[in-house]
Amino acid sequence: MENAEGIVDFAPVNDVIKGNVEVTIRPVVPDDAALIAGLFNSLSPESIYNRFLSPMRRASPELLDRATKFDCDVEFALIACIPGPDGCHAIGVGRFKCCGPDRAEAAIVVADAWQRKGLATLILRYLAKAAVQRGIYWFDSTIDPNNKKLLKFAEAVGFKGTTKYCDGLLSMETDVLKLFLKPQEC
Amino acid sequence: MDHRPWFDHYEKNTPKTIEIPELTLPQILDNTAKKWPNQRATIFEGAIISYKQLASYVDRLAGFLVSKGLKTGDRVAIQMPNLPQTIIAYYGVLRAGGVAVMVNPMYVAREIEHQLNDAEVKFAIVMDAYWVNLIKPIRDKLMLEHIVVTALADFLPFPKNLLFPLVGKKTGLVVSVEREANVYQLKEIIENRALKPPAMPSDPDATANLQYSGGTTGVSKAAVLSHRNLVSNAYQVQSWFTGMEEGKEVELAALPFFHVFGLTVCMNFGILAGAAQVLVPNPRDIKGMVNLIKKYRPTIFPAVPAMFNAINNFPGIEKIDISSIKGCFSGSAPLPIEVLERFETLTGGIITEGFGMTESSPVTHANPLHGLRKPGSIGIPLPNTDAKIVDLEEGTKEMPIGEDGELILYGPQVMSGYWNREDETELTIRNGWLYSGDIAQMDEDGYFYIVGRKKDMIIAGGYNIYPREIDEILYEHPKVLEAAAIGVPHETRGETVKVFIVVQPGETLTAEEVIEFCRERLAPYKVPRLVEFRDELPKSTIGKVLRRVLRDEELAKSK
Repeated sequence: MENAEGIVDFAPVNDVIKGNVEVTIRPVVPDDAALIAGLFNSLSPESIYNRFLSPMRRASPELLDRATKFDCDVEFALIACIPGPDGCHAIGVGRFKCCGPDRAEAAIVVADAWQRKGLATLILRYLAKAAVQRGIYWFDSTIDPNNKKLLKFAEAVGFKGTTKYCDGLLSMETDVLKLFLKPQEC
Repeated sequence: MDHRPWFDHYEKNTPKTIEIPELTLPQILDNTAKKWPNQRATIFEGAIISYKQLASYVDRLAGFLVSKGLKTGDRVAIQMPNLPQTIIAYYGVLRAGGVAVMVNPMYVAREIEHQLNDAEVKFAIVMDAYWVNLIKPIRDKLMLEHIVVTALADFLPFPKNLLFPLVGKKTGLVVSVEREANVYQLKEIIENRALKPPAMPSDPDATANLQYSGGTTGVSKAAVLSHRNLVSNAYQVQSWFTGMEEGKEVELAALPFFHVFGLTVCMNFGILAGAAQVLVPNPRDIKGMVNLIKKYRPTIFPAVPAMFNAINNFPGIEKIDISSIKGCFSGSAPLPIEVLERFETLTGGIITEGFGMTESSPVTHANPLHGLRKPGSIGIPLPNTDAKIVDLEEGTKEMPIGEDGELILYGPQVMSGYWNREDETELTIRNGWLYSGDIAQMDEDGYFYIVGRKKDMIIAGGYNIYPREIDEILYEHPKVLEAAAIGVPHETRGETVKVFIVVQPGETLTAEEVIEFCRERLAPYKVPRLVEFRDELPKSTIGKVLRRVLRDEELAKSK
């Protein structure tokens, strides 16, 4: 199925992560605000900081709006869900937004209990697939290099520091095609 | 060490490598007390303690601590301003084989709780007012078993010791300490001649200090500093202060001893050199400090730029004789050239600007006192210290002269690691080299220049502040939607804290409320001086808060 711009829409997929857990990965839709709020509330302060580079405490309505209602021409987001007692339960979200003709800023957040199971890599791989369809060939990301776990992950999946420790942060980039074609399990 | 470009700029009397004896800090004090038993060790409000007396007080306190069950390596918190008791407590703990945990007297309960529990402190030696007002109320949350308290008046001479309790009550500096189990009076301990010290600690590699400094994750972490680290740095500093005579100098000890700069450059160096230390418990009292200079004629004055600046601007300073000062060490923030020039004109002395980190005990660099001093440079590495500029990404490739890179340091003063923080240690100490997190350059003469910071850190008046800690406090405020703290340039403090706040919709908040909220939860030096309200914070395309945009805006404003 293609949308008006000729971009292939992302059909929901089921995939398996470590622990033999099946997750559904699908595009974020405006109705996902409650799911994303649930994910935010489950995050440790460290995970929140790594995602937003700020120790925010709550997902404000503005933040949830931004996370779920966006211009699909320049932004794309995926949500990873598993079945929960009250329906579906979000355990990860990944997104990118264009910041140049062939370049986008990317970020992923995974619920603490579901980290180190390959979910971030999986989301990244699907984000890469969607990015290539949109003519995006470079992902940028800004991380706190003091977070060794995150730095190791970024390097393992192919991100390289592009310099400038500015305010203690490291800008990184990766060739999306390489990322897409040679996914690493992390 | 092979030849280094900076060796050509060492003073004639400064060797490239110095021999550092295998001694512990209490052994240094012991040696000094034997060499100059009657030299003044401390001068406090007119009360003088000789080195012989100091060593005997230290011995008695050590004997007491061991009698209460202190074992080698046990951590002991010390929280006091610069008083004779601070030196007695510090050396007493080390003499007993303990590890000193210096606590900033400006800390609030939240910060004290974190530090004492992180260090698993069971003993504390503190000023009585801090015990009553700060520590006792949170005692249930701590592991403390034995507390030694001391009153500010304990070492005042007659009649000040009698008058002070009357005056001090108004200021909150005088409190009544209830007699209770496991709370002891330092004065009674050091007057007890029956207390005998344990065997002299002689292992230079034993830990001497858990020296706390801010942490990137918002809570402070401790550098593990051994006796070897601290003894080495005292000797290195001594080798730099050429022209000083052992057993004869008078040092103005205004830098707080709980901070690693004051600990080494004032207290430990002073004791190694057999200097008389004129104690300044409140360095903000400039009038008092100027009076001490007039009265005791100090020859050495380690300080921060704010202190030099305050003395420069003291009304009528031109008419006051402060010419006794021969050598000054300035650190913690860049020293403005006009501040340096005026202070040197007033005193006839020389200020050498240097550099250090908590992790390196702290001094690694300084400009030569009587050699080529380059304005804006942190100077050259001290004897036995190596330094390199390496690439920012991997930290493995040495950068050419004049190019930016990370400053890395090697020497006997470099810590072994952080206390219980293996991850951070691995990032910071690699093959024995300390990765400073500072972006620097080296020129063709081997002089180093700090040009930026790899860590997100504010240095205000010599204190390391991590913006994340301030952000976390601000997010606790129910009316705050978003917040970000940054460092903005400050003439004498180097930097100061400014916060940007987005208020929750429908709420109102004032700068005063924000500052007051922070004041209750943060030590004063971390409390923001400037508050700006915004509709939103600058963010990246996907919502990451961009502190650098705020900083760039502030820098543009100041130009």
